[in-house]
Amino acid sequence: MKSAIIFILVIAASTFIFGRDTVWVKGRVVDESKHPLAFVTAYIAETKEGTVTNNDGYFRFPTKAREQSILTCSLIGYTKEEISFNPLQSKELLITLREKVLTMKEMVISASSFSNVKEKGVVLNKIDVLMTPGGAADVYQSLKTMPGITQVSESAELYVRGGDALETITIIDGAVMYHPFTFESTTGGLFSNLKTNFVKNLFFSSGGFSAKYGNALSGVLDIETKGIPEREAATVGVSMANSSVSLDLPFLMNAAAFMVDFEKSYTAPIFWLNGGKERFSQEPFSTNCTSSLALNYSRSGKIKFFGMYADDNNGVTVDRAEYTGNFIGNTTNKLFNFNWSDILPGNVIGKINASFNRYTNKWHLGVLNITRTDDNYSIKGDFTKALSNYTCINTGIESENREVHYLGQVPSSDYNLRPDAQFDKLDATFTGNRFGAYIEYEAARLAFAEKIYGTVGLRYDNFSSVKVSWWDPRMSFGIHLSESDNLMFAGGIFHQLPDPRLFSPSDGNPNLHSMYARHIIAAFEHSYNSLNSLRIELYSKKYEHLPLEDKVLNYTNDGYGSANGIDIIAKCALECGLEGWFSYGYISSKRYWMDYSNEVSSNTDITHNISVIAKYPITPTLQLGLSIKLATGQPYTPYLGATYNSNIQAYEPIKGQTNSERLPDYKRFDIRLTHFTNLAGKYPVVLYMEGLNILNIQNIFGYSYTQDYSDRMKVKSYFGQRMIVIGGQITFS
Amino acid sequence: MKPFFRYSLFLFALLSVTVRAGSNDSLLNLYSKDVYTAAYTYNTKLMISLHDKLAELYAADTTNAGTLYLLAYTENSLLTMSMNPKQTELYELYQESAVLHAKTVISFGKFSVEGKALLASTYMMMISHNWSNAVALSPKINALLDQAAAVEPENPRILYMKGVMKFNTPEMFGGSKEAGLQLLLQANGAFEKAPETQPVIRWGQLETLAWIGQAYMAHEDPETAMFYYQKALSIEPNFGWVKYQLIPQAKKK
Repeated sequence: MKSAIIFILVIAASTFIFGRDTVWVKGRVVDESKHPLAFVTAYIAETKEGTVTNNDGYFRFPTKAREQSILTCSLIGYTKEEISFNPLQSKELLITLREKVLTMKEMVISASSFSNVKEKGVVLNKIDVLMTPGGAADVYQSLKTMPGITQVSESAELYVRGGDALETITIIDGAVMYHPFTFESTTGGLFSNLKTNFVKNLFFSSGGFSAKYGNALSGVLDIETKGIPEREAATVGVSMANSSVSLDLPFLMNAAAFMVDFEKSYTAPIFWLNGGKERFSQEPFSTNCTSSLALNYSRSGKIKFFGMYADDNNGVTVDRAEYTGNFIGNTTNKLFNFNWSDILPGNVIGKINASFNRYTNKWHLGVLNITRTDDNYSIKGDFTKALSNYTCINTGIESENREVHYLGQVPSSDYNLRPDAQFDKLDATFTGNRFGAYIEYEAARLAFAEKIYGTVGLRYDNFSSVKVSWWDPRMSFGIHLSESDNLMFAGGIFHQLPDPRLFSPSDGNPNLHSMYARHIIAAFEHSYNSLNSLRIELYSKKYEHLPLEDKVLNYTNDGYGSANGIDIIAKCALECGLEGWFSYGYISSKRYWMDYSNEVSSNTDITHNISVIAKYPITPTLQLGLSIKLATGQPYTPYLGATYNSNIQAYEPIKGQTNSERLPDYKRFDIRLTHFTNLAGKYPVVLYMEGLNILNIQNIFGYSYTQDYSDRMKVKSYFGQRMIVIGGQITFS
Repeated sequence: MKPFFRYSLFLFALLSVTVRAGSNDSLLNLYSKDVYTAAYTYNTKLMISLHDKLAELYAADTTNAGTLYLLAYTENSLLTMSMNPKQTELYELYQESAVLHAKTVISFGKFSVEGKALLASTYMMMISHNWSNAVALSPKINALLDQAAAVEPENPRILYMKGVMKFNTPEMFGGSKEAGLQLLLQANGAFEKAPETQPVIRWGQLETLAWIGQAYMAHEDPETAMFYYQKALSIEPNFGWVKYQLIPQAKKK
């Protein structure tokens, strides 16, 4: 009995003593909108005690402190807060953290058309671009393995969901670039002017895109170039197709950097190994120099000067019915870009961009001899103001002054290009002064329905020089069905001015209006985990006011069309190291425009598009890559015969029904072996061997005809034969 | 046989098994503490001798998953120690067996998740040794961690490895310093809740605190970094990485 009493006394005393001694620090951390903040570290530095807030922003930890103490609350992205408190007196503390720097969420390449959950979904990263077999480490060629981009030709141009290549715009650091390709010819450019090493982030949308982007009917490719590197590096690359040197030189304790990339491409070694030189009267070669000077003048303030120079030259033997001659093409492309961004008063993120782009292109074939100069000056401002932790307003204005000048001579009839054929002199200038503005409300989750997110926006564009203006309302919203499933919808109105050459007073119509498209998209996305995901998108596009040839006015806006389809992409990575993606696109695209006689399958109506990219590490340092591309043949207009025109001493073809026949299906298999090693144990070396079109399948991109159009020959891609390319690069850092 | 002898024999047999098992577990506990000490003090000699003893123990009983797990962990630690320029030869000596043993651990159902964390950690060491391994091993690491997280989403070592992976992967390849820190903070919370004895050795907690500190250092908050470093030292005052490298770095800021 006595011992029991002692026991009870001991327990009671200890409870009294310890209960009284244990002091808890407790409280809640919220943002300026009173939303709870999770993962905030709350601690007393002096006593080394602390904890982390839970999902509701609450924290609680015991302390030995008995006097006035300092509680520190720290969360990355927010201003650290320190408050003085008395542990013995305080009840529940309330700490408010202010957002320090608002940063736009970034991604590399996404098949997503509309999403504010950018970490999720199907995303390709830079290594995917560099290692895609057959992609030549080119951003555009790699993008073509994504669904929604149809395999119209082997050019790098992006034909998005039934749209013409001109209907997808490329933006580099905020500046629109209308000609981002090298070796641009009538069948499109071959590669991107911007080198992959210079790309930091890249957003691609195949439709339903934000009101931020104007004067684009089908797609947007928005590229951000790299910023200040972490350390000095020099990379030297040599392959059978090009040699390159790039330097990253940070200075001012990594607050500034100069970056430069110089590349010279050539084809002689490839032709020596693989043959095919006989088709070129002048072996293609190009030069590219890209440089950037970046300065972070404060924690949030950034300035960047970006410059790019590119030129290319090529000469190709062209077989036409009336004439076999040499096509000579020369291009120079210059882009100067200035960017400034900072946090303005009121915690508004501001970005200002000013740019100048000059593209000069000369084409010469027989009687055709024309020089096109395309100058574009632009200034643009984008501003983002966070209204709460989950909502923000995006707005911006832009002014663009584009002048396209054509000078030279063009054949009077498009079926007679002989050097002595009749021609028309051309000295025409199109001026397009555009003013654009947009406003957009973005919510990462709605106040009344946390699983729903969305964006609603409106943009206005005005081409004062041609007196055309439009309003485009756009919206998208999504539902988080679960942690791994999202359902999304997007829709909107999109306008774009037709190709400048159609405004020519002589053979065009200066009074043309803008083209119109309406996008409706529904998508489902499932992420099995961070590496395996599936995305399915259904879309419907309706086109109106497309340019249509007219006997009186040359062109009217009476054309129309539609594109409906489904895009699927599955990306996976298995434990054995096998990884890659599969994409499938089905499309039905019809148009009545340009020289079409009625509404028929458009040139871009490639019914089925399949891409399979697989990569497997044979050993830890040797990777095998495989690319399979299959696509339905492109529609084309057959020639039924010809009549002889004695005035021009040439046959005039008799055209059949527009796009009534299809070329054979497109098939291509590429492989790539990549070996990773190092020099002297510290300098990374990448060696690769690529087999392009390894089965040597002769894909056809059209037909050329005999003089009287009685017989036809297959037109193959200039780089479509089997080719082996060997190369490597070493980085010193 | 008389019942007394029968019972005595049965009891003896039972006791022998129990004693044998008891001695193995006690030995493992003893080794576990030493391995832990050798790991956080970077004592290579001690770690090698413990590795050799555990290798013998495992050879004697290849069904003991605990021994194998500890053996694989010692090899993983020796790979960490091979980052010291003066003992790079450790990498060649232990890399193959570290992978083999970690893979074998996974085949023991009980240690499947922990084995995956250990194998992922071993692969990470191989990437640290030679960056070019990243191409082949990063997908394997991510796959291992995703599989393990599907079974035990709150496993502290899985959260820790995911955090380190996210933190160290360049942004252009899908990494994120912020997301990495969040996972590391989750891992720290999970470590605080996890039983002391899980699984055989409590590896990862000190390293998690060190990485959280580094994340705050990267965001120019040395005070909060120091709080986490001190937290690590409050658990193990002689944790070499924090004591001799990270804290002096933070003090310079």
